[in-house]
Amino acid sequence: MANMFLCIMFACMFAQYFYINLNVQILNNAVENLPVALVSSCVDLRFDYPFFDQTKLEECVGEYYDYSLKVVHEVSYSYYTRTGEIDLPDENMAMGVDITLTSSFSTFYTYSKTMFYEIVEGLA
Amino acid sequence: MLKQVLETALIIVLADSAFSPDLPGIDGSLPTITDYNFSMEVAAETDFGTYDYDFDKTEFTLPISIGSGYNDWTFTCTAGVYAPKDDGTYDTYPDNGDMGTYTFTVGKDGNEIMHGKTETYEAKFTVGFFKNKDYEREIWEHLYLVFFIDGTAPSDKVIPDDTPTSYTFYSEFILRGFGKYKVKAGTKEFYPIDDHIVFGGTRENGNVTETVDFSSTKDAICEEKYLSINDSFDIAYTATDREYSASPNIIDAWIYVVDPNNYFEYMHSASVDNFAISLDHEKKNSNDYIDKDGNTVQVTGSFWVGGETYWVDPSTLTMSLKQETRFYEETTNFYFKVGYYDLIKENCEFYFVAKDVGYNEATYIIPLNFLGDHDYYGSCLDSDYCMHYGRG
Repeated sequence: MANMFLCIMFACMFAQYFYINLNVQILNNAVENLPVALVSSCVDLRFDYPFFDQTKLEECVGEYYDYSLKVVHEVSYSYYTRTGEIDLPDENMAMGVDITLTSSFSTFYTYSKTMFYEIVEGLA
Repeated sequence: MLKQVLETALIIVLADSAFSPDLPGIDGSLPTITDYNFSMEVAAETDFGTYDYDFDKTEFTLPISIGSGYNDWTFTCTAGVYAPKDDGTYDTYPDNGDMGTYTFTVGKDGNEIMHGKTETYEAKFTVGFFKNKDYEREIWEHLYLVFFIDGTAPSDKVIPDDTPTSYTFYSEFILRGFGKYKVKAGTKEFYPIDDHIVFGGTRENGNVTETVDFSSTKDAICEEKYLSINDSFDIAYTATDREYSASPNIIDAWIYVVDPNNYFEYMHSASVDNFAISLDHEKKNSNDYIDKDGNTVQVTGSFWVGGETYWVDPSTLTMSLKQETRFYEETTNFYFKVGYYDLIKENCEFYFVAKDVGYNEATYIIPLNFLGDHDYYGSCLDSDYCMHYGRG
């Protein structure tokens, strides 16, 4: 009886492991393959310095994750401009963003991964 | 004396030959028609150079000046169209193989050319090829119109062995801008050229004469992320009809770019209600342009490209002349879309097309030149700014 219980428990643990592993792969794939062109399309180019259009970025990235992922997830954005770089006239103008995807799809594991995107000076 | 002149001419010919492209059936040692006079105390002179093709023009004239040394010679002139191919060879166009033949005998009917004088003959050829065929664009870009002149000396004259009897001229023949080919923009297809498109000129319609001069190429300034075109083009109206209003009728405008590979790109579209013949600001009503005394009234306005209010989507830099979506912001520049740098980094032709201009509702093309220096935002290699990303 005890052996059967142990077998069922191990089976459940393996199932949970594969479930977590599969979802982590899916989430990793979605996060790391977030198209940079999508982020680039949310850069406001009207002014002397390019910066992120935050409303549009959050809308675009949110739509991308909603479309790509079936599991429950949450996206957070942390905007910044590196100190000593360009002095942007408005604090809402950011040239860098950390996009963090968090998902608590399992009671045993919370997935969290951050990608950074920065507008930097080119070589031209 | 004659031999010396011929030798001199031959030296000139050989010197010029280094700049001559190889055309099929044409001796590469022959000079271009622009540089060449063949002389035998005589000259067959031409003023042919590079042609900018006029779509209304189907006839070309080769002026040939002949001197007294060619009295009694018979010349036969023919012409053909040659287009270079990618592999360095040339295509000929049988559709235009019969451009006509022009034959003349020098000094015919006792009208011999006096010593030291010349006579000019005009060989006319009809180029129907361009009018009637929808050829692919690439062959329109760079064509050669080739003239062949064969001379036959009279049998009773002794001709020196080194006297050439056959001459070939070719003229570089560049077709500017638009042909009858489709321009694709997304799912839309455009035929930017209609027969009524002109680079300028005078048009008459009833009592109204409209004169537009867009023919000169304007300079545009490429400022990293946008193109500034601040120039005006004069439009003059002459009206004798009291019903005539000089209000502008522009209803549409487009911009096209030709990249260095002769590839047309649709750039911006715009539906406009008030763009933009700037008429005399003192005269706001159409009645102000009526000839009250029965005399001709002349109204001169300016068609402005630039300096107007446009709308740009800051994320995609798509342009419009009116606000279309919530993303569109007011601007006064023509922006380039992200990723367009490859298209503009070499010298491009840029065309502003204004449709339904003025009383006669003609469509005009305004050619502009610009050179893109570098991109504002794009690849890190040739842009001011680019995207750097990675795991946080």
